[in-house]
Amino acid sequence: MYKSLLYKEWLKIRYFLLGYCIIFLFIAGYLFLDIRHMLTMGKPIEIWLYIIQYKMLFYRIVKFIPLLGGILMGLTQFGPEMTKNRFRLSFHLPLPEIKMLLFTIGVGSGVFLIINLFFYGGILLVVAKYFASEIVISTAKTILPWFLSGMAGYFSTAAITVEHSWKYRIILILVAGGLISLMLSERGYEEHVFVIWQYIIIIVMLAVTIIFPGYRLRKGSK
Amino acid sequence: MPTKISRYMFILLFILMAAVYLPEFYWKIFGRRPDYIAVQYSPIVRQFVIQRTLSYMKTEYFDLKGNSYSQIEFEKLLPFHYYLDLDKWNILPEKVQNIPIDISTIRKKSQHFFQRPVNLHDSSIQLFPLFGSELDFARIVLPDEVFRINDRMEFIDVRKNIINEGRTSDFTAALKNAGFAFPAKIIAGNPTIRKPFDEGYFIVDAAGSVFHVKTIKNKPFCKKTAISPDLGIRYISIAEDQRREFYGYLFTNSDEVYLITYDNYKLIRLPLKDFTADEMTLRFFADPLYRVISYFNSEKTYGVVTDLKYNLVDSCFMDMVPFEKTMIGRIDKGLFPFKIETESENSIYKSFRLRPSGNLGLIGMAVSLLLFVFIKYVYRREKLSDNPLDLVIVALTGIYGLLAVLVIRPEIWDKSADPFGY
Repeated sequence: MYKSLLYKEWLKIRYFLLGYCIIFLFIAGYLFLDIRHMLTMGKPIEIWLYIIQYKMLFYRIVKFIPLLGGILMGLTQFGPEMTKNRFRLSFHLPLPEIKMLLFTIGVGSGVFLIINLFFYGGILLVVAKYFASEIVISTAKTILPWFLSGMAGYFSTAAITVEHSWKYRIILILVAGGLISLMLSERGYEEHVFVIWQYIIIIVMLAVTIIFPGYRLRKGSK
Repeated sequence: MPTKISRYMFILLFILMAAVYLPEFYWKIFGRRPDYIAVQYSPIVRQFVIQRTLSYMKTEYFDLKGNSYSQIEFEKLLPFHYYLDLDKWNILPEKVQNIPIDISTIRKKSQHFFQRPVNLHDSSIQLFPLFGSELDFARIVLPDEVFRINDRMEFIDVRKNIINEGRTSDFTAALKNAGFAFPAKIIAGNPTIRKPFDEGYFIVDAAGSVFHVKTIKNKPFCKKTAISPDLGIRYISIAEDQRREFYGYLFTNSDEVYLITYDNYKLIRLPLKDFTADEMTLRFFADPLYRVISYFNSEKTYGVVTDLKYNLVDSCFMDMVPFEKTMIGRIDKGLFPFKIETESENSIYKSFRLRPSGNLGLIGMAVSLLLFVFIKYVYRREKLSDNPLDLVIVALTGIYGLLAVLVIRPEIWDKSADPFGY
């Protein structure tokens, strides 16, 4: 049962995953070239001090990619299910709908998390090639909320897609949008270091939220 | 059960979002710039003179005796601030308190600095450039290395991102000879080339002693200063100035402020009463006759003036009306039982700080609760036993909870709401 469900998920998300990997390889490659170019064209010490003192986020290109990825991942997984109410078909399976929903987002978020861990590491490796460990650690702390926003984006998109009433969709969009934009607002580096745990709690809460629209879908509530 | 929990998670997220953004919207709509007060000391009338910019951009000039001035009269009282204007009008006095002055003397004998609470709560990558002192050329040039101090003083060549072992061992040895205990707790300098000369860094070691570290003609200079390790130094700021009176200033854990002088690093304590570094902005102004220090937050402004030897001459205090105490601020408190602040003026770090509104907030909470009871039990005719937790949520979170539970309505729960109910 779970094996077939897993296969179904794989069929839906494989092209997305391929595309996401390609985009991230491209971004990492671009970042590598960009840093090298920057250090070749300018005096390296000026670049370093610009990063340290003026808090230039030279890796800013990464910022919205995880969020965009999360949203697209949610759409590729739940979009096809929700067109023509196909998802209701799976309510005939001998599996409670909540368990099935949790399994589906579990698979999706697990795969997305693993891929993002690789990308996170990849970006840090690129930075470590040219900069001292202090700058690498600062980068790690600064881009972590961006990756967390990807997870939050995934769970909220899943819930928004499964929800079939526009009233709740709009509320979900407002709530998720408001909370995700907190994770993405900064002027310099390391501003979010004291609220990482709070963000993780928010993400878990967003994940659990999907049960409510799922239940409403099966009940056919307006 | 899980579906109910899921609904409550949704409600909690809604409340969190609302508690962050609703007060912010309220502030965006009704917020007004608070009055801005600048306290200065006039060497002409020998008393504090005050410039107050009101929220509607009108500026008032007055002194503490109740005299008010026009802008030109005000500038005449402060020749050390407005000497360019006075010179243009040909009314710059030749002598102030029997001391002859002209533009160049004023410039040479003036110095100021400005310290905001956010400087104490700021992120900083602990890598620093070490400039050369007493070089052959007039201009300061950027080095090709930055240093860090962990178990030694390491210099990283930024061109190749590798450690320069030669310089590292030179400086580590020099620090050890001076009695430095690794690693460093605070490294404070002025890492810019836009300064007249370089004084290097003041470094607090693991034992709390303060060292002065710079490079003179490419040789390390490390000196243990006489500053007591028991002072409890929290923050040091260094700024080179042609006057060469002090290297900079430091804050201690007990909110004392000291200047670090060129006289063998002797400390001068500034006579500041009720100063809190975490909340107050500090402004220091040295002119040819006085040292004028003012410090303020949104509620209070203090002014202190000393003579050239830092003996207290006069001090003043002014109250201001903060946003919380205006009518709009009171409505804000009644409407929102609490706020969640994610950003602060005094820190660059994000937070989820819960700010309760105090007793005024209880009014709003009671009104919300009454409204909820009316809508739910009278208008919608629901049973008291249905979703009793909703009531608790409204009672605890006021308007946020009211909006949340009214918008995110409970379903008619059935047994299959249990995922394992099959």
